[in-house]
Amino acid sequence: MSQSQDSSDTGLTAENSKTDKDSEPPQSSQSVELSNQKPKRTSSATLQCPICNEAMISIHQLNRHIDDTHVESADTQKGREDPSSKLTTNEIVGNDIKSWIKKKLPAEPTSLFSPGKRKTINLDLLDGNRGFGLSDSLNDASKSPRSKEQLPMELLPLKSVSPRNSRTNEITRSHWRQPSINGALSCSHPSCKRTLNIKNGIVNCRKCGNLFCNEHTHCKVRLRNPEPGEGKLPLYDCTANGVWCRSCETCYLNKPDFVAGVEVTVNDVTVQFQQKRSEFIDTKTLRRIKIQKRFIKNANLITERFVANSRASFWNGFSLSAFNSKNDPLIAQQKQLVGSDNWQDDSITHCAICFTNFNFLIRKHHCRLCGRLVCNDPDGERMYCSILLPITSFIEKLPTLNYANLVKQNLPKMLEVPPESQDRISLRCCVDCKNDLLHSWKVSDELRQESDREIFTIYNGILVLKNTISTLLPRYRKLVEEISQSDADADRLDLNKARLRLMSALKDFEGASTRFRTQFLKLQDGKLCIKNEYSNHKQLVLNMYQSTIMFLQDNLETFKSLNAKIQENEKKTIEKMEAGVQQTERPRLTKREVREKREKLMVMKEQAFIVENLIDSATKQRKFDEIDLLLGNKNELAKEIAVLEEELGDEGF
Amino acid sequence: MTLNLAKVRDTYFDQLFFKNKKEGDANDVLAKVLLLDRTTTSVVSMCYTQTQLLQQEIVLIELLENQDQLSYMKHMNCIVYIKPTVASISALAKELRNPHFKNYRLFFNNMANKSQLEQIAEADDYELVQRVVELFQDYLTINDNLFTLDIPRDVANPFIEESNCLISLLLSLKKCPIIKFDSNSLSAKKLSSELLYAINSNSNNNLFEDLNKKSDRPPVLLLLDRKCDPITPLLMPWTYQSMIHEIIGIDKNIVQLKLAKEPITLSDSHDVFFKESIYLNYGDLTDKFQKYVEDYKKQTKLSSIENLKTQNLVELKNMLTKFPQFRKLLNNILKHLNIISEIDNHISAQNMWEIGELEQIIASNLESQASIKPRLLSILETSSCSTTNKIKLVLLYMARFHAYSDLETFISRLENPGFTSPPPSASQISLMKSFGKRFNTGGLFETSSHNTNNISNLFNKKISINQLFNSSNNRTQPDNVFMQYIPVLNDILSPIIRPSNQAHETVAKLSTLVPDAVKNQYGNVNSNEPAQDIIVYIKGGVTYEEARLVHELSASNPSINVLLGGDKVLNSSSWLHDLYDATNDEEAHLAERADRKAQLRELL
Ligand SMILES: [Zn+2]
Ligand SMILES: [Zn+2]
Ligand SMILES: [Zn+2]
Ligand SMILES: [Zn+2]
Ligand SMILES: [Zn+2]
Ligand SMILES: [Zn+2]
Repeated sequence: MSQSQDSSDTGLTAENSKTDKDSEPPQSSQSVELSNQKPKRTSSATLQCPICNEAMISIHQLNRHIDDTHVESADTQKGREDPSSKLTTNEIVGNDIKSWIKKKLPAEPTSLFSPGKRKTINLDLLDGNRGFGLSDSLNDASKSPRSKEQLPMELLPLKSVSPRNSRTNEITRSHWRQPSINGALSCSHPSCKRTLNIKNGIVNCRKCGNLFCNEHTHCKVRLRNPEPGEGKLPLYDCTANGVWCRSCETCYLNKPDFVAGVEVTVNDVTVQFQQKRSEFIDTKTLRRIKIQKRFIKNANLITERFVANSRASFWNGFSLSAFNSKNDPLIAQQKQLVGSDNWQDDSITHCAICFTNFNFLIRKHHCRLCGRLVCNDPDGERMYCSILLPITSFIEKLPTLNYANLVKQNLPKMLEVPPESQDRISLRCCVDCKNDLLHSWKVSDELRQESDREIFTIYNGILVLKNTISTLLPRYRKLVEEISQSDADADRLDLNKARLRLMSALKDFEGASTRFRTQFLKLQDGKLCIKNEYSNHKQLVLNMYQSTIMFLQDNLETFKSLNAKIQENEKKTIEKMEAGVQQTERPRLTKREVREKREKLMVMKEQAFIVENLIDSATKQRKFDEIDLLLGNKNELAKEIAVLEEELGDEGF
Repeated sequence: MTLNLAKVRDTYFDQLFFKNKKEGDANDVLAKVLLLDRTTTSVVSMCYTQTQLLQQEIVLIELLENQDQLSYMKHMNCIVYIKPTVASISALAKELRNPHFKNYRLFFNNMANKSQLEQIAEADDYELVQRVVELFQDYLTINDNLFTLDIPRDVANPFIEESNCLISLLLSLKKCPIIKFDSNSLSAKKLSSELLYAINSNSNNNLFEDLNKKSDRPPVLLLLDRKCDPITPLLMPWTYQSMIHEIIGIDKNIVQLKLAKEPITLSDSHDVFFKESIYLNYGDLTDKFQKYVEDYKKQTKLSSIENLKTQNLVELKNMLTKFPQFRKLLNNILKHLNIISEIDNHISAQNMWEIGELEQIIASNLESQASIKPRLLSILETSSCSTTNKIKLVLLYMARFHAYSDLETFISRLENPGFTSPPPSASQISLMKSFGKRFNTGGLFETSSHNTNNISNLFNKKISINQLFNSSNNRTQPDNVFMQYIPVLNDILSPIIRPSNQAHETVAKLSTLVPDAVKNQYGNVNSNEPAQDIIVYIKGGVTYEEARLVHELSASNPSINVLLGGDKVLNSSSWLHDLYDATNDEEAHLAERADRKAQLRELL
């Protein structure tokens, strides 16, 4: 850790050793058992910096450290005479060197301490009266008017040993704000009024350079120097290369992780999935094509034999024995079709699909499309392993395949074969081959019965209206907001249009939801229930209705509040107008009055519509106290509407 | 703020239900069905309300395992959200081979491995799957800073399962932490090495690489064992959420009141009053509730019929707009009224004021043994106090003073039917006898020479939270006697948040494990750097009081973020139950050993 330490404590800092934990010894209680992160520590007599407590190997190194870390750079110090920071290296050394020089501390493993990586001094800095950080213990000393003493020769830093490596180890200070020469400074923290002095601390935030008290620079961040073109301020560095530096709270809370806030992982693996799927689909398609080809050839062969047998007009009762016999030439042809490699040997004792042992009752059969040995299981006692089906039932489902003409010509005849004789035109295939063969038919299958068609037809209509409202409402809101910001009269037309459209959409939606209700729901014991004929979709229908009602209520609420906003706005402008223009008696309504009254009328009508809605739902829910209230409102509204309509007369709509 | 489960919940909601909407895609105007498995049913029900789901056109929610009972509804789109277990994945494959719905969007609540993905890809013959996403939500969100794991009892390897759940938590928040664990706890140790292995070996998808890139220090996952603080769950808590759990019981955010038929759902995200009062102490809570009711009354008075007649139309309109709101508000008031009155009944019926005060006095070391003992005896002699409450007091007393000479007196009071009914059971008595010793050895506590009874360290003097963080906002300390006790978690967390030079007496002996990804980013991790993001997991159960502590820590100091979780949320009765079980197990074990010794002796 020490290599990334911010050991560049400022010359202005009155470091409080309590808060400065840069180099505290690792706590013994936090032992490391399993990680092998840190080798066991051994104790040895070492030096410790009196200011930041950093461990040192030699006096030489310490000397350099003090100079480099705790001495402010010369250019920032020039001409400054801060009385509080007048102490010099000399004094520290003179006063405290004896007490700390032999301090024992648990040493870090030397590998972490290699002097080569430590900061080295720049000898040019070591002249003049530079202030530097003061530990608490020196506060008293600072008060006594001790004059500068000469630094003992042996502690004077020698010529720098290794070249300075400022890029990696030294965070730039060029941005540091300097305390003004006269006048008390106070901490830059917004809620801190402390003056900056030795006691409270005078600390530059390493990141922003502003001056703070000790307490408001207790945070630490990892920084690095800016590369050329990255500005002057140090930048955050979240890797091991970042140097731990003191910072103010603002800079701490501006770290990239705080700026990013809570980050949440979402791992979209759709692409990998689709890749895998298309691989599977490719191989499956290949297999399906193969099976399909074999089926076509099988269909051709079976038809040929059917035709031959019919010509011989022998087929009644005669050919059956020949057909089933092992010597049937058709089997040889079928074996050839599949390929003798795929045609499983008769020695196999288990069904390829359900792994059942073949026996006297569970006979083995070759699938004519893949050649595997499978058991006969048409009723799914095991796994529907194989089935014997007339080719006509396949051909009917797959009419467009490239069959021989003979097949097409004889299809009607073959369809007439009575069930008891269908074996002659049947094909044995396993369940896998059957699924592969019928895959294309299944994809286009619309045969599944849908008891829910009616529900979804009506509900999809509702969804379309929902969509309309969801696009109209934000548009209306935007217009309302524009209007309330400006008094532009021209926008009124648009606004009224938008409002009327939205209102009619809401009315349509209300109608649709009523239709949905009357279609699927009934009132039973004061509660809405599903009609018996739809009871197997109970949850679905009830949820759909609830979703619809919720949407209606939410949107009506928003609509109403937007209208209220307009009316308020309107009222204000009218008041303004009335204040400006003296009212005179007018026989007829002015255009403005007509418009206002019309708008008022429209709002009223909306209101009546809404109230009726509420009455409706309150009736359903048997909330009689609400109904009373609402009925009162309704009557009142009706009166107002009548008055307005009379006033408007022909100008109404 | 870098750790917040509410943010995770909201992000995942958008992913699951909202982000599906592509502009102009007519398919997306369809109604949707949500297929879940057992795990995700709990996850979803704790995170999202039915209203939220209905707003996103989720008109049907079904269990994937019931797919055989589904009807074919090709007019609906399907969202599948499952835990990638063997059973759920094969059920999903089966569904895709025989699809009931128009198309599918798949979400997993934890990492799905390659072969699982392949299994589904192979099953998707009709190419109906449009999206496959891993979310990381294999845990239950209780508050925005509190989670529990939902591990089935019958699981084969609970440590792997537990580790998987915690991995999902870490991934959901994009954290790759160093792991600190209570080195005295065998189960914490096991869990930590399981986690380290899972993080390091996550080569499958490298999800743990690059997680901390924006943070200059690694997050900390702190694994503790309930045994390091057996006291906190025993005490009667005095803040709202804690009290509900202690007195009525909260199960997956659902509260079942004795008198109400319908269960009540408590959620900090959908109930503003609850959110604001969740950490309030009982006094403040009742004040706040009264204000809440008065506000409601004021508002509704305005809307009475008489008033409405005299109002002008604009105001009438405003009133009407508010009707549905009033209804919601009223329901919410009734809900909390029912809860608070049940709590109130319990407190007065059980002398909880008196008992709670004594609990705080013992636990927070406020008075001497000499003054505590008579008070305890007088409660033991009060017949209206329940046996359990008396036992809890005795346990606290024993843990604090180890006064075994007093125990006989206490037990005789407890066994006197004139004072206590029902009398304590055998396991309750053996627990009282062993409690002080149980947590004496092998505890988390530093052995200090002057104190042979380690458990006494549990009762450190109350440490002000602010003291630890020397922050400028001087929160007023509650001088309320019922709010004196601070859980030990505070003392465990403080040296992690603020490592100090001083030989700080640390409560817990913690060991550290550092995953490779963390080493790669930060080099050697120094535990003396103050931690910023801390996720605490307490094996054996967490309490709502600790959640409150964590909330206060984060609230008083914006520079740290703490998240808390456990395998369950304890209240005193469930903790006592665990303790009885442990005592019985131990005694059975001892008896067995004695038996064997006797046998051996006979043999010799
Ligand atoms: Zn130093
Ligand atoms: Zn700063
Ligand atoms: Zn300050
Ligand atoms: Zn079979
Ligand atoms: Zn086959
Ligand atoms: Zn039990």
